[in-house]
Amino acid sequence: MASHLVRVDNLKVYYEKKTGLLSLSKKYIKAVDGVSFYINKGEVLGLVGESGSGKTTVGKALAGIIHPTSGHIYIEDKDLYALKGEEQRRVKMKIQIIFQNPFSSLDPRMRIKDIIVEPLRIMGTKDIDYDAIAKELIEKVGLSIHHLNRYPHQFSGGQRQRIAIARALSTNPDLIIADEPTSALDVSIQAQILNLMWDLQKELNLSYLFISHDMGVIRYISNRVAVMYAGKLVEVGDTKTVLESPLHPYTQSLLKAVPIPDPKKARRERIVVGEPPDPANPPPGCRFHPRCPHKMDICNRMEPEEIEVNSGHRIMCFLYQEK
Amino acid sequence: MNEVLLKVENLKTYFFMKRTIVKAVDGVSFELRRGEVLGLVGESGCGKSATALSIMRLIPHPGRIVDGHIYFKGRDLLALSEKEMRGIRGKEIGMIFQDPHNSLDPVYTVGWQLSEAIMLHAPKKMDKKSILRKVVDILGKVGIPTPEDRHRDYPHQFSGGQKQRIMIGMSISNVPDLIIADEPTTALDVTVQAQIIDLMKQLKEEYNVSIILITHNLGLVAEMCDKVAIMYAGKIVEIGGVEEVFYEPLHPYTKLLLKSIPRVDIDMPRLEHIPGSVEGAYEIEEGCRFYPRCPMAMDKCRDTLVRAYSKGDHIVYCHLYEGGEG
Repeated sequence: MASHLVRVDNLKVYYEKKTGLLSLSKKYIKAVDGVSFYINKGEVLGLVGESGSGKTTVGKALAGIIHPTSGHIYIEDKDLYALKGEEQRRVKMKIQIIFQNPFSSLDPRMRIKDIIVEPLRIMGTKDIDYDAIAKELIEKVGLSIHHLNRYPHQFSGGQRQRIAIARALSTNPDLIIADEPTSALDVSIQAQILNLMWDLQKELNLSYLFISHDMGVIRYISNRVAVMYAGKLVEVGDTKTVLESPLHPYTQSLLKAVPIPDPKKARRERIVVGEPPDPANPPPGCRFHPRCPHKMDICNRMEPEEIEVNSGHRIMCFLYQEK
Repeated sequence: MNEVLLKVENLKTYFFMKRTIVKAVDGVSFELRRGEVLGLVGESGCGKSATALSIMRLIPHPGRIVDGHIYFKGRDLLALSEKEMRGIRGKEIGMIFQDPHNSLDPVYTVGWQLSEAIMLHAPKKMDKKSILRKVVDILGKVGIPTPEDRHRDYPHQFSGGQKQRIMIGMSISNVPDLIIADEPTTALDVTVQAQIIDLMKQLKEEYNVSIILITHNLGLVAEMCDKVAIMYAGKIVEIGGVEEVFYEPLHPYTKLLLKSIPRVDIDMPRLEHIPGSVEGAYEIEEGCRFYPRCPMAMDKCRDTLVRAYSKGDHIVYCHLYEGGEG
């Protein structure tokens, strides 16, 4: 186990739901409900799922933005949320995050050179030449040093996302959490950002947790992929294995629903029914059972346990547990 | 071949801002036959929505249609009075918008909103019973379970996918000839998107309605459209049958666009990216608006008016094809 850079163990994040002014009983939205996975050094793990599946919450818990309700996150075997003070700060420095919307993630009143090194300042790093670091990073992400004195509004969406990437690189992180970093961008710009992230990952031997709802993006960037549905991880494995021979009925439905930009590959079959459940009120048993084409009696009574079918390919589904 | 339902000719829609004029749609022409589905594709700000709103004559201030013709069933929509146009919107041309959460009024039941759409264009006054029957019938048709109860519910009691189904129901309630769907599934999850696309395909077959699908998603175009028009900075750069454009793209922009999409079905080599951005393209008057980013750009692309070159129904606006049939 020691070889994993990140190990997430039975992570649960519940949000309290306000049900009314005088409500006595508390209701919880189980955004993430018992998720475990690992990320190796230099590896890209793609996290896919539809809206409300909890993928962003997993990312935020890993980035130290949301405190988990229970469970553990180990960074190089150190329990992130058990550490205190200076030690926790040093571990957190190794994890950075890039957000979806580059129009709200950069402070409009700060100059680019200050935005880029802000994480270092917050971490209290002293005796370093901030300007020199900003210069090096801005060129690394494909912009130039005369951009450093400008403000965010002078940049396009793609350029802003480059600035956000430069900022994430400032602390020399091991892990970058990228939460839908290209979904606010046009495809031609998306390609630029994906290629940049690809190059940086190789050059710096970074690990990414790459969160996306776009299966094409996931296939392009990830080594392994984890599929979430309604707060649970339903399938995880090598990208090619999961995308070409998915085992969980949800992954299968999801992949069938993706429109392929090839007229001869147009989908002919009917698609899975229904919509993802309300996270405040998920169905009992396997959370996919109301929509599942292979539903069995057991599926609404019990929660499936995770099983490993092939090395590294794990799923949560009763279809494979009986064998 | 079916009759031509819609013919857009040299459409120009400009937005008159304080200091500048934004030529959002600048000389767009295309044809749509009955029962055909046309995909209007392009990146944000390319003028695809402005083209759709021009057809509906719903361009907001400070925008104005300054030139061109929009022939719909032989009549030029741009020559009609506002009153005549109101008789066409929602009756002969239906529209579906991107965000189903904002398109329905939260304070009225969905049944009420549907009946409003039906009554507005009813040839004669309808009694309550027959309106209700029609509402229930439409809700059932678009896949809302137990429509005889659910027509009494309010929009917030429906999911996003169901709301979009209701909007589609509204758009077909008066059996239009043309539906303009502006990014109808962009706000929805991919499994729900697929259901909505299935529903639209099924209704298309049933009513033989023509559809203009505005989208940035080339996957949806491949799945649903017969023809596709690729737009860049207010102009159509290429238009043709879906298979021709996808398998034998002619315009450098189309070629790059197709190679820049990461695909789930095949391993991609490094993605092509289009250098630079669209910024400044709208200021180009005579030349090709794509030339600052075009890997094939030649001197004349800068300042020579681009003509249309065609190979059958496949038309491209690019100097590279000069010498082909004009």
